[in-house]
Amino acid sequence: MKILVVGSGPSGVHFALTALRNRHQVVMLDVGRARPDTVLPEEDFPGLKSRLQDPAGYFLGREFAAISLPAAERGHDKEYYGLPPSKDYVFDRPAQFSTLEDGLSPLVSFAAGGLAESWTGGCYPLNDHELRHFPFGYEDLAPHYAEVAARIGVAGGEDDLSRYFPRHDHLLPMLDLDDSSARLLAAYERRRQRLSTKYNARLGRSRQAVLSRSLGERRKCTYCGRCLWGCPNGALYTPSLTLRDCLTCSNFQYVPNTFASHFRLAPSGSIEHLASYDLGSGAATRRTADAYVLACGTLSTSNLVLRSLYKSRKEIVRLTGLMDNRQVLAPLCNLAMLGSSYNARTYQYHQLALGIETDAPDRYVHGQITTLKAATTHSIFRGLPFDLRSAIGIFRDLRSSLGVLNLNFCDWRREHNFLTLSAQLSDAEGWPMLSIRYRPPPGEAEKIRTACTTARGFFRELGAPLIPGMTHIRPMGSSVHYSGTLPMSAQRRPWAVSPACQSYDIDNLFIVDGSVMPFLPAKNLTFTLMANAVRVASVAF
Amino acid sequence: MTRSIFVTGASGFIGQCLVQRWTAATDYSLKIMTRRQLPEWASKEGRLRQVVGDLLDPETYRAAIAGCDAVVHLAAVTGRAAPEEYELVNVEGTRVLLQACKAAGAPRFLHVSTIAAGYADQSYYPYAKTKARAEALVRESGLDFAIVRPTLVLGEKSPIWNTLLKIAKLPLIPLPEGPRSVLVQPIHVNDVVRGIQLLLESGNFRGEVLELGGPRPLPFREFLGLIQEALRGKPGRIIRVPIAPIRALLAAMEPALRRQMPVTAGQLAVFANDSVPSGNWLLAELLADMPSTEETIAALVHAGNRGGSSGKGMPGRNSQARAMSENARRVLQEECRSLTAYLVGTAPSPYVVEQYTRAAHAHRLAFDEDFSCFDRVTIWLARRGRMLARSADAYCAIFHRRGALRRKLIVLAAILEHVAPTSEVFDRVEPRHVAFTALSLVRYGWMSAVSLLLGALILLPASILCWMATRSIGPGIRARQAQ
Repeated sequence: MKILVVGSGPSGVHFALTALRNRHQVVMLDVGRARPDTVLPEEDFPGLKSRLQDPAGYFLGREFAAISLPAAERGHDKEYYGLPPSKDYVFDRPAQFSTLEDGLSPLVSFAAGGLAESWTGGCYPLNDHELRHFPFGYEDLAPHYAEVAARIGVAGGEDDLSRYFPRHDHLLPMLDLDDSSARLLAAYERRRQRLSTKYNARLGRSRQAVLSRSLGERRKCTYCGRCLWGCPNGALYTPSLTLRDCLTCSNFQYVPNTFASHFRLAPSGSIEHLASYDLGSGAATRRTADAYVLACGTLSTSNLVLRSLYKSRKEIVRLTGLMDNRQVLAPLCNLAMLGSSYNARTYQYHQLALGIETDAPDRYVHGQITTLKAATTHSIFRGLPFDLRSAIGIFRDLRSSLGVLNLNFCDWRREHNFLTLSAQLSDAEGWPMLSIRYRPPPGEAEKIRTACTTARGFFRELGAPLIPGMTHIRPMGSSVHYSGTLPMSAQRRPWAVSPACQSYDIDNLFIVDGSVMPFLPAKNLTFTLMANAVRVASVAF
Repeated sequence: MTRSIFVTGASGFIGQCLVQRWTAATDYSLKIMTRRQLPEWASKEGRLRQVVGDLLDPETYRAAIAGCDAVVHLAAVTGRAAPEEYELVNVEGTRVLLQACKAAGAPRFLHVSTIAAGYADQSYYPYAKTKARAEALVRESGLDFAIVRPTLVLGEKSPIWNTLLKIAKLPLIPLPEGPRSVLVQPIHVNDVVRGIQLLLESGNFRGEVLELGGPRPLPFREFLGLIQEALRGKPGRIIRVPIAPIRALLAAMEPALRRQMPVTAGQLAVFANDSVPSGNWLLAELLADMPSTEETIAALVHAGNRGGSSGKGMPGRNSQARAMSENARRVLQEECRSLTAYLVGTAPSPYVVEQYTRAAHAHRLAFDEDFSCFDRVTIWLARRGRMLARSADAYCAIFHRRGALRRKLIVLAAILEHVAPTSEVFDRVEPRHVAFTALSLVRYGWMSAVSLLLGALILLPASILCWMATRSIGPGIRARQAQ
């Protein structure tokens, strides 16, 4: 069967790899912004500062855009993502894609590998409580979680958090802990009974898509501290690694630098062809296939569906149920580390996770704890209310004890959160612009307050109090977990897909990215997206 | 059939939108005349040709007009120009262009005018008067022509939209009004461009004047209220001020203070006349696909809020275009040495000095004349040695966090943090007894408090003096300083 896949993000590449292994012919269309070459691959993070010829250019960018400055006027500060210039390619969007935003400011990617090229690697399988909104259960998904784990390498093991993360096959041994995380975990071990009973919350090791032992050509983590700037060894997983595996298959054709514009729909409701054009020459191409698979992320996938309807039927519809995880950042100070040094040559991202139970098991709150090691720090000390020389000194004194708890909250589909096309504004190509509308769920503030109160007490008893006044509720769109606009449903209904992710409205269309999530648990969704894509490729083709 | 079209005023607000949409979505062959080469349109080469020329010098564009099917004449002087400038470009420029068109074989002439050309009350408004006279020249030209008169044209880059946004953000809006609130019928720039395209494609160049407006007329007061609602969720307070004396006063001030005035007497004509189109076939066609005024406003407000939401903005595009004088460069280099000594206690390497100069330029921190009076005082103080730099910084860390000095210091700290050997100051943490850490924290707190006290002694009076000085020089100069 000839299958045309749009998008090379985590869903697209894992769908493709399974389909290729099942001997289907796969053509993948992609804008495919390419990752630049890794500089000085043998060097660790501190070494880069002394060995690079132009360290300011590498860390801050040629236009110094990575310097975090306060806006000239109050109220104009932008959310700081701390993304390094080496990841600029991940967020470089072509002029063909623009959005009208109301209540949610998205980050989008057109990189080869998609947004997950800047993934922090949290791999958390959903349990049956969370999957009760899905048309299948954990048992159906478990083999696919295992398959993905075998492909990408997931470090993790058994601990208190296993009650929230079911165990699947092919887990790798855990990574070495950094000192601060190790002391936090040891403090928890000593107070486990009391803390879990009092707060209904548990601490344990996070599961990361990082190699603790070599896998094929990928080297195991060397603890070089360069995770944020792009792992030079391929130990921290990104989907472009799987794209590389796909490219070794003779039945795979990768077509980068191509913008997929819309489907031409026949009156019968099936796709006649996909219209795309080359981003360099502007040359338009019509492509046909036996099945069309959208895997370009919720916003682009929905945009393509909406544009297809607009082009073929002059219809503008709403795709409702847009979801995203609310994130809350709470800096903490691990007092046990005061007076200690830190080691920049460690795994840089989160090593610990926190689970907070709520009144309903599927409304579980998920946290990841990242202790401060190798990092760009001017964005932190510039916020202290002291002269910068004192601020740098104070920050250095506290540095090894600092960390941040990132709390994630679940989301569910609501009718008034939707994607549609704007009748009044058009993009650079004259198409109606993709319009986003999002409002947070009712009672959100109370839920955040409750979870923060729990976390505050929990970490205080661990000897790592949250720093007062510094908890930050991130704006919607920051977590980049957009989903839910074309959900899986066992019942046939408009703008939904079957349990095999086949559209109920367009019969030769399959959707395998976040659009199909009928519910968005608090746990990072990337691992589940990959597993679901493998499941669809296995059961539907 | 591919149409060959010559466009004047393509770098203006409507012109830019027209070029953007037509190069993307039509097969027109465009020749656009601009006063200088626009590099941002270099990527569209193949779909358009830039003709660098001067409206008043037909030799610069005569060859480009030859063989064109139509001329779209958008070029005009707007804003706060002197009457003679309006006369020169809007009347004489049109006259010269019309003659060149006739000489080139009389292509169809689409003249983009303004609803103001038909205002009954054009007092003090040379723009409206000259546009009306340009229309008369077009009528007398003998060419096949059509005249389009848009009303208030809205769009993200629309000058009037951006002025209205600023007005709508005021807590209390003084609205100049005559005996009644005038009517407006604003139209989105995309619809104006669509109208021009429909007109070209219809071939109806039979001397009509086609006025273009949005979906419905509404009182100016209500229009302003809709913008306020979209901005803040509720209408703000609007108070009526009599228009006649204000216009007379502004008109009297204009000859001497035109450039400093936020608005001219002529621009107030919009509050003295209805800006509502009379019905015509083109407007009827456009209305069929037009969104409501409320939707347009909401979309524009959200587009404005979106700002640089694509993640990180690229700073300093405009300042990059400004050349740095040798003197300005020297000042920045010296500043870098002085501030580095304050931040990390050593001299910067030539590499750091160069990076700081470039980064200050990129973040619009290179030119002292760009800063407010108080910013200049803090920077001046910080350049006078480590202790004064620390004092100025300590004061700004509390009372002037967004000021130029803080921004300069953060830029420098970001560079020093990533460059060896100064990176050690930020990264190196030696293990020691926790009591020493506590003592160190107390010491930094103490040093900062002393610096703050010293900074306040100097900068508190300076901030009062700057505030008084700024008040006394008037809003026009403040606005120029801000720019």
